This record gives sequence, structure tokens and C-alpha cells, in this order.
Amino acid sequence: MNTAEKVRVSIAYAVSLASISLFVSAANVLAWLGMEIPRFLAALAIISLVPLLSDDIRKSSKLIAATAFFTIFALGVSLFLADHARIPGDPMDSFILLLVASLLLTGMKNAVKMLYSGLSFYIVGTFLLLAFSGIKIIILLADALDYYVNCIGEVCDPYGFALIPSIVLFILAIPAVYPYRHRNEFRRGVER
Amino acid sequence: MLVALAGNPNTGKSTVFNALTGLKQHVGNWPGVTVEKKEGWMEYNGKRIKVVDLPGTYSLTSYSVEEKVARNFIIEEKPDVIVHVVDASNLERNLYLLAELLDLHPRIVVALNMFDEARRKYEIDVEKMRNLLGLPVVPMVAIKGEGIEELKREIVHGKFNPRGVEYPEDIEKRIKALEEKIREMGLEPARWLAIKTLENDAEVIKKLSDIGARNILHDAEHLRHEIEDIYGDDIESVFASVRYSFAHGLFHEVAAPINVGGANITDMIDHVVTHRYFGIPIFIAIMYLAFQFVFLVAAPFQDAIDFMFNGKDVAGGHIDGLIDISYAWMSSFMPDWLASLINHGMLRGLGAVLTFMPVIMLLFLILSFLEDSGYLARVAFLMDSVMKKMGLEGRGVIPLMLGFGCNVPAVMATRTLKDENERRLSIALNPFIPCGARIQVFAFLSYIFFPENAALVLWSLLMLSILVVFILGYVYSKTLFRGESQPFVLELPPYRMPTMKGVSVHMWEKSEGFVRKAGTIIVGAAAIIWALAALPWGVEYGGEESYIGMLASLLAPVGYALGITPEAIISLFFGFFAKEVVIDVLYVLYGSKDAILAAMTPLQAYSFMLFMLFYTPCVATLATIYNETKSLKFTLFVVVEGFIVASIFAFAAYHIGTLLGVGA
Amino acid sequence: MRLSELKPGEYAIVRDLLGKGPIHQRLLSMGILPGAVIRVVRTSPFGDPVEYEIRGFFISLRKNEASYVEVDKIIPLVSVPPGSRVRVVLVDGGVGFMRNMDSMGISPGQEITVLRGCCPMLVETARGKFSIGRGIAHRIFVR
Repeated sequence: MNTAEKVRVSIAYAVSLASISLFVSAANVLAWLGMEIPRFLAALAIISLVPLLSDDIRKSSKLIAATAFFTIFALGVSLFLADHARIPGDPMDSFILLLVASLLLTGMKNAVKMLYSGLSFYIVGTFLLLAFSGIKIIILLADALDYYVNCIGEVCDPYGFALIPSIVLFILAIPAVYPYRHRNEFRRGVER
Repeated sequence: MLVALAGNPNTGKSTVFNALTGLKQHVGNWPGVTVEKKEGWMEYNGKRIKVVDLPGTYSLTSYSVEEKVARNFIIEEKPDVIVHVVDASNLERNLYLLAELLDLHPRIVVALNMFDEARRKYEIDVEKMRNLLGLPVVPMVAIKGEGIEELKREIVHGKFNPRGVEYPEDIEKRIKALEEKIREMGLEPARWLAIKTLENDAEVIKKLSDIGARNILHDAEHLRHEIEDIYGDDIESVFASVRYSFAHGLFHEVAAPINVGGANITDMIDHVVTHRYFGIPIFIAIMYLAFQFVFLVAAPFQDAIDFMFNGKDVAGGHIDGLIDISYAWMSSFMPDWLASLINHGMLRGLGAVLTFMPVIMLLFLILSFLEDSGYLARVAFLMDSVMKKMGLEGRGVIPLMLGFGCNVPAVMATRTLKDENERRLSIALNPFIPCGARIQVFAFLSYIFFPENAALVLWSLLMLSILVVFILGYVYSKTLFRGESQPFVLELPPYRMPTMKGVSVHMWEKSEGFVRKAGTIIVGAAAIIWALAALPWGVEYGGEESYIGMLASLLAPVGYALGITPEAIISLFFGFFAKEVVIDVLYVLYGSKDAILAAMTPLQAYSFMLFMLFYTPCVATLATIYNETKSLKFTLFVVVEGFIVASIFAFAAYHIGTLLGVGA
Repeated sequence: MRLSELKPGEYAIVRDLLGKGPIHQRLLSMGILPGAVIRVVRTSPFGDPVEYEIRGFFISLRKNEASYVEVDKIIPLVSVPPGSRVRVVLVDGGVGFMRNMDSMGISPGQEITVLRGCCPMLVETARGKFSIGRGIAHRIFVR
């Protein structure tokens, strides 16, 4: 695979990340409203198929296969999160994740064409996702520390660590920086 | 030996300063203004050399406070050497300031900072630059510590043989003529004064006319008109274009551009973060994350400090904190009132100061990260047209937003505003933003009194505070704080990865400064509050017989007019110390939640909350305001404006509510 | 026309600075003086302020301040469509670069015809037909 193809694969991957972000975003709203998170919400993974709208993806069977794979991957991750993760139910979290998903999806169209205008949305989207999930993980640790500080002198149960979606999102977002490292292979686009 | 650092903003000047001085530095204000002054000491071969960081400026005119401060320091303190810190990746425009410095001072070391970044854009012939300028030129990468030793060596041993800026013959002739006359009067630096007089520099001209140098001014005016006639342009433009030709010429002599295509990361990021639709949501997301990070990560540390000082009540008893232990110890050998003053007054005050520390450190960690990375300039770009309406530039949104967390760091963050007048306006508005502690009290009271509509009540208070800030900002900027309208020219520097060192130095500086300066004031205020609540000795602490209680009954008629009960007034006195204790005090005075509910009507509770929303900021905030402005008058003004606005709203709400018969 | 009237992506050359005092001096110290080339980069989401590129660095000016700058709109040669005849206004570069361009008949005041668009461009000058690369075509401004 040449670099352009690798970059396109990782863009398809990032779109599946966007669909997972959308799932977590929607789940957060439901949790905030005090509702159960239905498993069929994981069907949002279908958004991972969006790259197929682009000719640059469709013309390569390898890329089509990768997109299909990432869709199933996103479905799997979403189902896993629905079953095992503690969704915080914070509406601001869903706003930020919605923003991340829209940035990644907006960037997709031009990023597969290897244009700067696409890469720029892509970079900001990935960075925001990393910052968001990273900060949430730090906050989780701080919360645990606070719990134990407030426990001094009392008998307490151990802190109930739970899997939060941000842990998964953070790990998944790390490989998505790949196109950024190949930014110099992108082009400015057609001259006016 | 005295060294001054000059340079444009965003050139890594403070990184160079930190690298030269290490942590041996002192941060204060320049006399009379709120511009930050940093001094430090560097060591070279056993010599101790004083280093002063001048404000970052683009030129040395008399139009801004920073520029005046910088040039007056050079003229009055006569530093032995000036280090001109240059952003080598932006050489041409940085050399403009060098042209101005060359007119003013002969011993300049040019520090070509960010040399690594520059090398990606062009080859710089450093040796040629040295020869052309006749000055030491040191390529360096300050954040990596490269070139620092060489810079130190050149500061001490450098050879200075400056060529200076060559003015065209017909200007040079006139500068010389004026210079002669100025030198005859014994004024120095004569050449610079001559140039500035010709340039129509308001401050220099005023200085000359104050000492009665009428004939010089007269000559200068004549010469100025001659130059303007020859060049067919106004004098300021003529001089500026001479300096730019110098910068342009030098730049093209020493730098050969490398043709690099490649990705421009800054342009790409800006394309998105200042995007028409995405820009504002991204800003909101970043600020929200920053907030969460600061307050949630600070919480365990604050709780730990609080526990350390105050101990805590647990099932089946009380764990003693530092205050209890030291009180028990001291009262064994000194009068009870003194032990109580020291421990329940001052030590508790110290505890309060220290609990602010984690928040301040983390806030400045985030803030300097945002500033050093370059994002803060984009915030200014995004929010400018909104903030302009309240007389502030775009960056003014940052302190206001921080205010929702805590007004103390928010007031400290007004330093990001470059204009003196705007900084004061921003400080005056900040206390009207309810901090986290106040919001906590409101949430609690709304929940007791308006169980059905608690969220709505809370929102009404937040919205009202924003509205008040907007209206006051608009009114103030047109009246009390109407300054000369400063042009808002904002540089959008390239994005850079902030260094851990730069960020942590900044963080340390701010929090250490807070403890040392504001801290003493807060501890003092804590002692006063203690005295009011505990004296005359023997009464119940904060009870009706104490001085606070007496004051409260004195103020009862006023409270009655505003719908506020005497007990609530007492709680407000304590709230002056720290807003979150208002609830505790109400609890103690009334005895229970139900008693609070019985003592006040919902309408009274609402007008109490309105009063608390706007009345004086807490003592820590006031101490910080004093510390930032160094003006007692201004600090008092903030208290008074708070009481006026608070009274108006509480009065209006209580009486309109009573008339309409709601919430009785 | 005024700097504030330009749209993102457009270029202009400064003709004159209006106004007095702080605004005038501040603009000068940022390098905005007659002869300087300015590019409009982008506007803020609320339409004001506007980001400009000048001498390789980026600044933001409020519309009100930009209206103190009197400019002439210019076009980089690279975006001139084939078939048009244009007049060179400015050749942006050091002495060597300008001499080079002059030897091809490209110097301020000269008229040239664009035969083929970017890139490389083909232009006809008084000295003949020349092929011009993208980098160079970005540094020649015409009207």
C-alpha cells in the first residue's frame, strides 16, 4: 500500500471513530434524560460507511474492504460500550462529541482527496477528541483521589471505578493521528 | 551591570528571560501602571548581572503604555546592554524594532530566537549580519536552551561597533542640525531626541517644552515641514518607511529564502478554529474542558488542604485539624482570646488562602498553555465583535469566563488585556460574574425555596449577571472608563507547542505571587472578621451580642427595605470572607433547614440571592484587585459599585414582587 | 478603495494611510505603509475583525481600522485566466529576483499576456514567451 492509500484507510478509520463518538453523544443525552440506552443505538455505526460516497475510496477494493471492516468494528465497539460502560449523562459531553463527529465527517470529503482543506478539519477533530477523552480520564482519576481524601478517618468502600467511554475513545483516537504525520503529502487543491 | 530585554510580543522573550535568570526573578508592576515588570539575576563567571524584561512592543512610539515604559527605562536607567530578542522566523518585521533601538542605544545584542523554525524558511547568514550591524548576533533556540551560554558571553564580552540606521542624506542633515542644538542644551540621548522631535513624538515634545526649549521645537517644526515637503508624505510615514527599508534591506542581505511548499499547520488549524460555523462551538468546547479540568482536578487537593486545617466531623466525633490542635496547644500557655485570634482568625485565613492555590495553579497552567500555543489570540479574533460592544477587546472574554469559576484568578487573568484602561474595566466588571462558591449557595437556596423551579431560578440569576455585565460594560466604556480608543491590532502568531518549563514557570509565578501578596491581606482580613464575630470577648461567636450582630441590627432597617432578615445580614458579613460559608452561617443562626424556610418568604429569599449575587466580592478577590491595580480607590470603587447594584436589584425585586403579590 | 472593502483571498497594495495619532502609528509599526502588499486571509465568524497577511506574518484588524488604509487591488499572476492582458504592478523579491524578472520583460509598468494558466504558466512579454513556475507566479502582482 502506498502512503496515500494508508492515509485513506486511516481516514475511513477516523470516520468510524466519528460514528462511535456520535453513539456516545446520543447515549449521553439519553442518560441525562434518565432513559435506558437501547442496544439498537449502536446502529449509528452505519455512519462509518460514509466514506463509500467518495470515488477515491470506491475505486480501490482494499479501501472498500477496510471501510466495511471499520463499520463492523464501530458496531462492535458501540455495543460493547452500551453493555459495559458507565455513560456519564453529561449534555456538554454530548455537545463536544457531536462537534468532534461533525469535524471528522466534514473533513472526510476533502481529506480522501488529499487536500489541506480536508486535513485541517481532520486534525482539529482528532485533537479535540484526544483532548476531550484525555481530560475526562484525568478527571476520573482526580475524582477517585477526592473520594479517598474525603474518606480519611472513615470506613469507606473502595472507589467504584467504572469504564467510561472516554477511555475507549482515547485509545482509539491515538492511531488516528497518522494522516497528520503525512501532512506534507497533501495538496492545496486546484488553483483558482 | 544592568541588562534589558527588548523585543516584539510572541518572540519567546520571556523564555529567554527565564533561561537567563532561572527562577531567581521578581515580578511586580512598573510604577504607576499595571504593566508587569520582571526582574531577575543571571550569573556569568561569578558575576551577578541584573536582567530586566521590558514589555513586548512592536515599536517605541509614545502611543502605548508598554512602549513608553520600555523606552523610558532605556533612557533613564541606561542599561549597559540591551538584548533584542528577535523571532528569526519572522525576521523582517522584527528588525523594525531594531531600527528604533539603534537610534536609542549603541550596545545591543541581537538574539535570533527560534532559529530552528527560521531555518525551515530561509538560510540566515549570521556572520554577514554581524558585520552589517556591527553588533553581536546570537542564533538561539531558547526553549531548548540552545545559545543561552553564547548569549551570556556576548552580553559580557561582546564587541559593539554599531553601524546604525542610515537615513537618507536630506533627513540625516536635518537630524544632525537638531542633534547639535539639543546637545548644546546638555540633553541626552541627543540623537534620539532629535529624531523623535522631528517625528513629532508627543512625549518628547512635551518634555522639551516643559524645560523651555522653545527654539528647538521651533526649529524642529521648520525642519519637519521641509522633510514632509520633500517626501510628499506625513513625517511619521517618512520615518517608518526609512526604518522599513533598513529592515527590508538587511533582511534580503542576510536571508536567502528556501522554497518550501509543505503544509502550513497554522493556516490549516485557523481554517477550522476560526471557521464561520465551527469556530464558536470549538471555543465553547475548549473553554468547557478547561473549566472541568481545573475545578475537578483541583477538588481533591482543596479538600485535602481544607481537611488539614479544619479537620472534619465524622460519625462519632471530630477529627482535629491543624487549627484545633494548635489552638489546644496555644491556649495552654496564652490567654484564650489570643489563641483564638491566632488560630480561629489568622490560621483559618491562611487555610483559606492555601485552598485557593490548586485552582490558581491549574487555571494558570491551562491559561498559559492556551496563550503559549497561540490559541488565545484566536479567541480574541473570534470574540472581538461581541466584546467590543462592552468596550473590551476579544481577549476580554477570558477573564469573564474564568469568573464563573473563581474571581481571584479571573482578576489575575486580566493581564492578558494589553490596554490599561480595558484592564481596569475588565476588573471592575469581573465581580458581577458569580463564582463557583456563589453558584453553590444559590443552588442550595433555590432548592430549598423553589423545589419545583430550582433550575429556573438558578438560570435567572446567571442570565441576570451576564446581562448586568453587558449593560455595565457598555455604560462604563462610554463614561467612567472611556479611554483614548486604542487601535486593536492583534498579531496571530503561528501555533507552537508550549513547553512544560514555560508553562510551569508561569504557573509558579502566579500562585506564589498570590500567596505572598494577596495572602497577607486575606490573613489580615480574617483577623478582623474574627474580631467582629468574637468580641466583646465571651459572646457567642457571630451571635447577636457580638459586634457583627450589633452591626447587623444597626443595618436591620436597610435589610428590611430590601427584604433581607438580620440573620441573613450576618451571613453576608461572613460571606465577605468566603461566599460558600453563607449557608453554614444561616444553618447555625437558624438551627435547621425548616427554620430557614420558615424565616423567609420565597420572595425574600430571591431578593437575598440577588443581593448576594452582586454585593462586594470576597476578600480574596478584593486583595487580588488591590494587588493588580495597586489602587485603594479603585478597590473601594469595586465594593461600592457592588453594593449599589445589589441594592437596586434586591429592592426592585422585593417591592415589585410584593406589589404583584408573588412569592409571599 | 479601502482595505476594509476587500474580500478574503484578495490582494492589495497600500497606497496611503489616512488618519492621525495612535491608529496611524500602530499601522505603520505593523508594517502597513505605502507599497506594502496585503492579503486578506479570512474574516471572523461575526464578520469583524478580519485577518490579513503582511510581510509574511498575520494580524487582525477591525473594519474600522482597516478603513484607514487606502489600497489598490492587485492580482497575483497565478490567478490570471489565460487569454487576458494585464499590467505588472509589483515584483515581490530581492534585487536578484527583480533583475531576473526584468530580463524576461516582467517589471512594474510592463504589459504581459497570459497564454496558458497555471502551472507552469506561459506568458508573452515584450521580450518574448516565457514559462513561469507557480512559486514565481505567486510573487508577481498585476492589475
